[in-house]
Amino acid sequence: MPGDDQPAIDARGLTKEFRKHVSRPGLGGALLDLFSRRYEMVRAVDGIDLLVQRGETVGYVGPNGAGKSTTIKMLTGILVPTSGHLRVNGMVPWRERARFARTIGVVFGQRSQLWWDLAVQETFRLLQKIYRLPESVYRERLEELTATLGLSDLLATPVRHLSLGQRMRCELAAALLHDPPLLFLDEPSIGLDVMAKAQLRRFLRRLNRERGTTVILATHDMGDVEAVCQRAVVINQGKILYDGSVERLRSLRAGTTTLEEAVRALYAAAGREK
Amino acid sequence: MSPVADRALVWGISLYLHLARNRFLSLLAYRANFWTGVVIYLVYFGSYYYLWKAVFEAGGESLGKLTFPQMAAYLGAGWMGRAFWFNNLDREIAREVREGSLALQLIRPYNYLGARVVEALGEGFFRFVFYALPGLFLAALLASFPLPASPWQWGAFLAALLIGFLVNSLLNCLFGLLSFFFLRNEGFLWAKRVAVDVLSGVFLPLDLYPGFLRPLLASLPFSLISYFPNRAFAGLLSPSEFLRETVLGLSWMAILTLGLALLWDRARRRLVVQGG
Repeated sequence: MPGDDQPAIDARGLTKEFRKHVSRPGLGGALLDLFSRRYEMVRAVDGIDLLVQRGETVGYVGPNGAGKSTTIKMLTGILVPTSGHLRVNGMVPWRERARFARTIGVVFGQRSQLWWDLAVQETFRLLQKIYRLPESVYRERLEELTATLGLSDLLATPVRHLSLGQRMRCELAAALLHDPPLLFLDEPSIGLDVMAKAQLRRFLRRLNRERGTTVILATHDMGDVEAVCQRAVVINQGKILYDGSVERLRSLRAGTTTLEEAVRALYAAAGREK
Repeated sequence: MSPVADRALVWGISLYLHLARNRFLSLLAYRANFWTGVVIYLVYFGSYYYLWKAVFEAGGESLGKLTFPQMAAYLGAGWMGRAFWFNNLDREIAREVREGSLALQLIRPYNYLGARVVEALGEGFFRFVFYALPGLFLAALLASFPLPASPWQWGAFLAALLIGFLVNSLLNCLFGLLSFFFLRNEGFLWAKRVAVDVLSGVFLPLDLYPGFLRPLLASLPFSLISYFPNRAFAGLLSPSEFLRETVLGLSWMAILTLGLALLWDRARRRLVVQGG
């Protein structure tokens, strides 16, 4: 594909601000709010720099509300950044949204992109049309994903009858049908049992190894990061606290042995500095 | 057209057909709605039929330029047409904005609003085949009003119905998108729904509004949704009037599409994806 020499992600000073409505307290306050609303600006992502090369596996780690999801949504072209420089696959995601969308795959753990009332294969058929995959390419790809994800019994099942683990496997197939070089996952392992989690992690490792797919995994499950990623980026309150290898993160602070502890120590240290 | 653009067009059409088909299939999954749908529209039609019957019996042979059979045909087309053009596009868009599922639409390389309108068309087709057509024949049978006599009259009715559908869907997109700016706009959408029913002429033909209002209402997009196809069905339109309404319909469609494009551009910058 064009732009193979470019980095997968190149963000500098990436910032997203939201206007948040502040309610006044009490009944009188609520009445006042009817006439004049007060707003305050919230900086969800605060000038982050991120350079990701093709073929990397990056764990994007942070507690709830750290700005993880907001970053992912800017990187995938869903949200328009307030300021900063951003190129993903050599494009400005939100501006060239349709063309850009063909070059990425996205899985949201908390939302489904499958058609709820239809059989799984109907969604795949539709995605074939959306991504303009020739019949032969589509068949080959579907066969491959069906084999690696164990979907053969699920294809004819209506999505509403799937278990969460089954659904997640179908979501992965849906995101990868057009063979994108870059895959984003936002909390994909939420609610999955141990077996399903292990299967998901195995699949992502294999995807990266065999197809060279760049994987960006936003999660607060350190197990996901340890199993899949070589690199970790830790974010809290919209700012990057750590960017480097998973290996180094583990031994970053004296006395921490697990990744979980290391990250917690990082949050605590950042809290003290404020 | 260049071969590349040609191929893109073929893909686009096949995608849109597929979207419409999927919507059709989704609705078939809930077959129980079928009978309730037909019955509800028959009840609507019946109550307006008897209301107007009483008015005509008290007031004489004709009202304005309308005879009673014409009025009955107008009402039949109006209510059964509504079974076709009515959809919840505005609510669905507002819900997708509110719940954040719009995010999933934006990672797909297609035109979100275009896809929505095409899905609505799939739903409309379902409603037309399963609600509107059987309803129309049942109503014509029960109320003995005349069905269009010529193929031309049927053609004019169907063409007008399609224009009305598209105008209504574009309006729905426009109102749905306003939820980007308000986030909770149920009351607003409810008011719009009532306004469409009143101003489009479902309840009563626009000819019966006071003189100064008539030309104003007839030039608004709402009149294209119901007043236009109903008159085509009841044989109240001359070919030149039909042509004039069609031009008005196409102009409003162009204006609404332009307005939508501008609003979409502004809305995207303000999008806040809530939750997750």
